[in-house]
Amino acid sequence: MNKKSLNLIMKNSRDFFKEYPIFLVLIVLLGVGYFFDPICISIRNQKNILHDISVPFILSIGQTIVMLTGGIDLSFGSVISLAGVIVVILLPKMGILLSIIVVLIMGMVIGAINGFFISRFKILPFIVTLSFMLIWEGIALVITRTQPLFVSNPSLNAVNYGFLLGIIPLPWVYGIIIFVLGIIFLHFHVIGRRVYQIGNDEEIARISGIKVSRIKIGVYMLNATISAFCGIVVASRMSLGDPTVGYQFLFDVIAATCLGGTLMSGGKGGIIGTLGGIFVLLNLKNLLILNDVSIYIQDVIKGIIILVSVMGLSMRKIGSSSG
Amino acid sequence: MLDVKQENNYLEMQSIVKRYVTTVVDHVDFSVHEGEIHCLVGENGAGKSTLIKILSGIVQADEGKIFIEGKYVKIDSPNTAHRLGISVISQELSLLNELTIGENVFLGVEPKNSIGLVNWREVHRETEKQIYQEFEVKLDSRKVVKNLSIANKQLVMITGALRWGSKILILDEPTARLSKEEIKRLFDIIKNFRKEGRAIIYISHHLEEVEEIGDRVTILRDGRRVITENLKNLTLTDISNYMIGKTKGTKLSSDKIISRNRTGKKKLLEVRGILNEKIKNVDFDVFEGEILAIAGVTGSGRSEIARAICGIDHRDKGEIKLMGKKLKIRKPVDAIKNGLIYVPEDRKTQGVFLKIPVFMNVLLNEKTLEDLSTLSFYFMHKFKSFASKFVKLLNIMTPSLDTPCSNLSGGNQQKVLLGKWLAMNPAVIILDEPTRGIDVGVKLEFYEIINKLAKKQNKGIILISSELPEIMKLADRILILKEGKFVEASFKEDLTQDELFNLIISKR
Repeated sequence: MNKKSLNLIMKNSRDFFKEYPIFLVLIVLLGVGYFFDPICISIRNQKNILHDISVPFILSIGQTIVMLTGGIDLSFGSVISLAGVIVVILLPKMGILLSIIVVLIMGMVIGAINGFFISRFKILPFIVTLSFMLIWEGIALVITRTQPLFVSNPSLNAVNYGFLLGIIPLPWVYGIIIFVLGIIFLHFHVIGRRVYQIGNDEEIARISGIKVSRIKIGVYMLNATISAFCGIVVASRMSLGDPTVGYQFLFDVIAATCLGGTLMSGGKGGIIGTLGGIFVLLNLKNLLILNDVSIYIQDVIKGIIILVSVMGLSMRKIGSSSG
Repeated sequence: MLDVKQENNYLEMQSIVKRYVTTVVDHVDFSVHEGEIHCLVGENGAGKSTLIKILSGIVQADEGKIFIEGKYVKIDSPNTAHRLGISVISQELSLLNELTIGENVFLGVEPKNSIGLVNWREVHRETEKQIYQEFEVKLDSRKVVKNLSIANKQLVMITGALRWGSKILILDEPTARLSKEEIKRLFDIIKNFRKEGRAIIYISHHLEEVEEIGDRVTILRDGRRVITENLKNLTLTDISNYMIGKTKGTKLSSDKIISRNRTGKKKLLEVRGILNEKIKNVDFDVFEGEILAIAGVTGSGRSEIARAICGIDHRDKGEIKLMGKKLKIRKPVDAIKNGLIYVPEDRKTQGVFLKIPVFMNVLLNEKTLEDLSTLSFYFMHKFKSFASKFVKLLNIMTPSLDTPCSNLSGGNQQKVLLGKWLAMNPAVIILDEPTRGIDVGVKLEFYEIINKLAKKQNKGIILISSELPEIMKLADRILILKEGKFVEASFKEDLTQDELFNLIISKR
């Protein structure tokens, strides 16, 4: 009996790692890290990592959904900056709740604009969102005259520094809620399935009567709204409306999504893998800092690890399709 | 045309017309009853696929009306076709490969539970039940479609069509990639659908299949309907005669009968044992001054042979000798350098550069540019005198060498393109559907050019074509290909076009 259940666990975990090899990478990484500095897997250190993880993780969830349709959204960084700036400006005039709502609606509109250009004019998502990345950031810089705006009203602090039930930091709560909703959405909701179906083959999806344009616009709206929300969280954390703050997330988010096994061509992958991807990235960063690796070498190592991991993933894919 | 419907027609298409540059479907009437298998046959380009595209909403007819159960319907999108219960099971399987069988079957009509989420349990249970009931096959509905066999993928597609409640099933070359047993199983399934009262349209190149399974047949030729007839009243020969458009087997007049005696003719190309997924151990030779035609139905591996020889597709095995010298061809460039040139079928993607003058277009390939340059410097006068030879040879109608290609007619652009390949001075040229989509006049000119290349310049030419008159006109020798194997080789004089046609479509 005991042996049986052990076998079952073995089989399940084998299936899990086969589906999400990024978690294998995570284990290896932590093993190597432990060898260099045992502190890296200590609870305190992991708590530090978790402290930073929420915003990039939430952003990666949105990005994963976009990528599953075969698209990409590069403009999210600028949306973060713009949302932060706007919320800081609106705060004294409208109060916390109303200004958050206005910023979220702004996010939705921005996403709709992205989606409109992509689905209506058939311009590559890369180009559309790259252009809007410049446009939104430019607007944020113009509004602030390039200087960060300080938050004058302490009510915004709670968004980042608050606790649920007095113990769970709110950013974790956001991450967990969006993660769970994301899984339900992608696996069990019809629109979530449409995301995969479109990513697999847009033409077949269209012929099967699926309204491809609507779903695509919706996906960019979702991502921009999520980004706007993250912009508010970041502004709250720094007590600043910084018009250039968004750039720092660009690399981590796209890299985590790819590392997690989501295909850039769409149709395959998901946010469980993305969770693994973001943990790998942040642990890697943390390890390099703990071991006093120079910041320039850090970039070199990060680049190499991402290249090797993604190469491993794609080799696995070639192997399984020919076998 | 009057809007009268005939009693028992479930689907009726009246006087359908579709024009692109030419009229591809010309006042075609077509109808299917409930519980009938109506076959649609015709040569390539006869208008079958356009008719099906019209019916499935992918393109819209310019004229004509469609009725379902006597009611006038307007099929303006694939979506509408679906809602009207029209499903196409096509040669190219349209499934979402990374998703599960169940999701593919229920695509667009997913059952939801009380809180609006997809009810996966029902999806998979229903899918497995349906597949088992209809086909007596057990498939795990949670498996991803990607790894299924072609036959099982087809079952998934059919199940999906039934899920939509499709009453009109269009099967477009469904047996193209199936084994004998799988075909038999498919036929049982189709016959079962007939019993259930569905209206089935069956399209195939294999006339035996048509005879075996069909009730009625409609034969198309050059976009027109030739005849609709009960299959009991037709023999296979009748059908193929209607398809080609002759009532009696007449020999095509050949201008010059080439002596079979090849003394004094050198063997140019020797191909031995070419093997890959699509080509099964193929051997053949091409002689100096010879036009060798490769004929076969779509999917028989015509282009794949050329692609395998020229290093575009990979080979598992095989030896290629050019003028007695063994060649190592791993990449396309190896073939080009050795004087073996493949002019591909799809010229849309390989087109001329429209803004660049005629003479540069002729020269635009690595080999010619390299040959004509001195220490990598280009001299215009050298280029022009070289290019003018080809303009003359190919009779390209252009005001001057400097005219941009965009000012030339389509046929002349095609010639420029051919010139580009010829400029590489190949020993053997493989022409894949060289005259597809060009006007009759230019076609004849092309034939002349091809003949000239072989007979005057002593080049070896391999002609891959689906147009039998073209083969009959040009080829000295004909190889017939089926499922990646040569099944028949013949000199042209020994064959009539009808015989050739029958050989191509006869039993696998």
